[in-house]
Formats: sequence, structure tokens, C-alpha cells
Amino acid sequence: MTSRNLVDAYLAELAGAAATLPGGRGTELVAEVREHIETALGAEPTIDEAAVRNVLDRLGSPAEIVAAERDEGAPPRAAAAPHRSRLTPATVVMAGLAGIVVLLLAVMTGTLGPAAAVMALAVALMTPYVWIPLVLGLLALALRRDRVVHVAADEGRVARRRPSPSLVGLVAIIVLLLVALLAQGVGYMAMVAVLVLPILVLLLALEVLGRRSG
Amino acid sequence: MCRMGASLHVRRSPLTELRRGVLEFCVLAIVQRDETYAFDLIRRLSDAGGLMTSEGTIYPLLGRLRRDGMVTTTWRQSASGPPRRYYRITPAGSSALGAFSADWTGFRDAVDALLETEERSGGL
Repeated sequence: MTSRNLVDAYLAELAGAAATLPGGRGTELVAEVREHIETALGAEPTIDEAAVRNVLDRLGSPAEIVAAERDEGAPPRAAAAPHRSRLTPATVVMAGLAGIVVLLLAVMTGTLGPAAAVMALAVALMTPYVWIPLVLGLLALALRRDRVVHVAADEGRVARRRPSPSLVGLVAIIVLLLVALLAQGVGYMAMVAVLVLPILVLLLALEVLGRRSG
Repeated sequence: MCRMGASLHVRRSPLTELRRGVLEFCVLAIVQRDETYAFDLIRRLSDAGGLMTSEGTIYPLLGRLRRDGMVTTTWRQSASGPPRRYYRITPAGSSALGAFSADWTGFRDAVDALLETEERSGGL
């Protein structure tokens, strides 16, 4: 048997034994063990049969690994993420959007008076640079929920890094604002820029904070 | 004692039982010191000696620690090969490790003291 065949046979046996594990855990386990074997063999000076057998012996039998998984394995729990930060990406985006609305209201109250300001804000909500970010915020919230479900159902499946929904939302908001600014007259641009820039800075700060504590 | 052990846990030796309880805290201690990927973590455990028999069973253990929120992971590009999953301790993991460290010290001292007394009286 060649070295490659030994590894393949081992992984096939593991995949067979792990096939009945809940969720995507079987696939993930096989991927983890495959990576382990590759890393271990990468560190060997020569990859001959003895080296491969040594690596596989140290791993233990596939049955042993799957038995350990069953011992450790708990059914997917709703409490899978009990230590989640309160500053989730979605709340960050929503807080930022709420900030935009409040700031707009405050500025307009200064120039128009409260009643007219509320009216003007209602009109303003119809403009694309307000409702598009709002929709994006809700979208981020939906994505976030989707991600939590994934985490609960199948924690840590072999996923490549995925940008956080809030970051996607944030970038989209910035792009849309830029587009809106370009489309508006210069006077509008100055006003909106003054309003929005500090909020974007705040959003970014919250995002960074959310990541650090999350 | 052997008879009792045999009746309670048919296949497992006392050392296996001890490892089962202690290993996860050894893992937590390593990932508390450094953010580590699984292979490196396993190498450190083997270097410490006698802590585990089969390296492959660390993966199920790491899976549980992730599920329980004791560790958190980040995928990072590696200089060679595919991205690696790096493990880091969470605040919950830290407090579990802290509690275990305190318990372990007392437990170890108590067992040591008893074993030494036993040895002395046996030697006379």
C-alpha cells in the first residue's frame, strides 16, 4: 500500500464512521483530521510509509475518534452562544441608523421648529438616502439571525471567513450615501456630509467595539 | 479497588478517567497563553507527555469547547497550505480554567499527601 493510499483509506474509514454524526459535524471532523495529517506529514523530512503509519497511529483509530465525538457531542443547543456580546453587528447598524434620524430631527428642529421638523423628517424618510440604509439595516438584522441559526444548528462548520453583515451594510450605506451626494446639489452635499460623517465614525467605532467584545 | 474499578467502568483505566477530566483544562491553559491552531496545540500536549493517548480525539474535545463557548476560533491564512483555524480562550473559558486551577491544587495536594503517607507506612 502506498503512503497516499494509507491516508485515503484512513480518511474513508473515518468518513464512514462519522457519517451518522449530527449536522455537518462528520464532514467537519474529517476535514480537521485531513488537515492534521497533511500538516503532520508536511513537517516530516521524508514521507514514506513508516512516517504515514506513525502519524496515523498517533491519531488513533477512526472508530476511536468518532467514539470520542459521540462522548463529547451534544445535540445542537439553543444555548450554543450564551456569551454573545450585546453589541451585535445588527444592533450596531440599527443604532447608527437611529442616530441618523435623531440627528436629522435635532438639526431640523433648530431651523424649522418641532412640528415642521417631524413633517420634514417624514418627507425625508421617503428620500433614497434614508430608506435605503434603513432597508439595509433590516437586511443586516435578517442576515444576522440567519447566521445565529447556522451557529446553533451546526456550530463551526468548515466555513471560510465571511464578512460580518454589519460591515457589508456599512460599506453599502457609505457607497449609497456617496452616490446620493453626487446626485444632489452642492448645498445638499455639504449639509448631508456634515450630518453623516460623525455618524459613520460612530458606526465604525461601535463596529470595532462590537468585534473586540464579541 | 481494582474490583470496584472493574465493576464501575469496565474498559477504562483510572488514568484514562483522569485524563478525560483534566485534558480540557490543559487545552484551555494552552490557548489562554497563546492563540493556537489545532496541530500546534496537539504537539504541545504531546510534548508535555502522558496527557493523551490518541491525538485524533482532541478534535472532538475542541468541538465541544467551541460549542460550549469556552474557546473562540478565527480562520487565518497560513504561510503554506490552506487557512488554519486558530483557537483562543473566551472569558467563560478563562473563568472555568481559573476555577479548575484552584480545585486542582487542593486535589493534587490531598492525593499527594495520602500517597506519601501510604508509601511511608508501606516502606516500614
